[in-house]
Amino acid sequence: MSAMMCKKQLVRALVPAVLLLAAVAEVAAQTPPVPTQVVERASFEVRVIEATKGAPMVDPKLADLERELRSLHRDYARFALLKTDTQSLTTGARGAVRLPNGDLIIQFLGLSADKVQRVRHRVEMPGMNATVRAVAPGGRTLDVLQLGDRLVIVATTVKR
Amino acid sequence: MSDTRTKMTLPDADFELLMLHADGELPADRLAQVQQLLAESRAAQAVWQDMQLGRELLRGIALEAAAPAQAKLARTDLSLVAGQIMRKLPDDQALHPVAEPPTDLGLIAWIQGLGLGKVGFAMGLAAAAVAFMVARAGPVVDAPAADVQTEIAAVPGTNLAPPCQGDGCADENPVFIEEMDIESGGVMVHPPREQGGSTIIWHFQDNSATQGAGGEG
Repeated sequence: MSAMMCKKQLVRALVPAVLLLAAVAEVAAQTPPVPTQVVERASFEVRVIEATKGAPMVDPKLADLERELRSLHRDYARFALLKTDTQSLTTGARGAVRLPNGDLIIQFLGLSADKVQRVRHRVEMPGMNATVRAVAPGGRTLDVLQLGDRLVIVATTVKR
Repeated sequence: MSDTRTKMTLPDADFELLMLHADGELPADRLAQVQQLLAESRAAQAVWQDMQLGRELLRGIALEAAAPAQAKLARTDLSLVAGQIMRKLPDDQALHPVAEPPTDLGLIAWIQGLGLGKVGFAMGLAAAAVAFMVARAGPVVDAPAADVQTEIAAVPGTNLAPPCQGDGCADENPVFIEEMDIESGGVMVHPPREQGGSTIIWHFQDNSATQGAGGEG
């Protein structure tokens, strides 16, 4: 068998393989790339504060909130920080913060698509109600509930 | 027995009797019955104390939130709203109940329409102060965001106005409440009093919610 014949046979054998590879490459080129899912994350700094009646006193750790706390209600003048908890959540995830009357649940719903970016989240008060909030990073809410003769205040600061 | 369990033992009829008494609507011939109840029943005493605390708390909130209208509110009897089934006010009546629409009072209330306890009635006063109420006849109030924002637009100073489009809006109004699901009690929202301040959300329990809270840990 001559060298020419061997070469022809080799080419014949390779042609289908090359065509197959070309077809695979073409299909791959037309298939849209699988989008990489963006995992959004937000964090929520939660401070649980107890307010009672009596001589005015504000926990030094609450200095940044002092003015607002003092103007909250005329009868409650003593404020103590019970705990600080930071929840870092991905989209859909839920975090729990223990309150004296049960668990406060925060669920991160995602970022809003508005011009001003907001962190959408759902807050469930133990045994009471739930609210869906859209808060710009840095925004803060004070949730207040009365338990007996004291107030429990949940200061939540939203971060990105 | 815990305070909560004690309160749960109070029969509904006695609870209603206490509510009437608290509202000032108790017929004179039943006064002795209430006095006897309060003298003999620990549950009645505990519930009565809750009612007084809630009333006192809400009166304070209403007075502080409505400083310009303080004199007017101070003369208002909480019992004015007792016993009413509160409904959403039509838009064209939204600002009529008060002579001068408040411009610096952003107080929003969602109130459970049925089964209102004393606290709910008192909240009605606060809500009336800004002439804005939302309630539903069912046990669960679910205010869709679009619905809320349409209604809120009539109330000056609210933090629930439709989102602004310009730059810097987040600084001016960082918090929106999009939806509320109220299973019991009620919610009031105060927008920040100054830039960079907190949005304050008061959560009120009605009596049944207090009883179901499982103690205070």
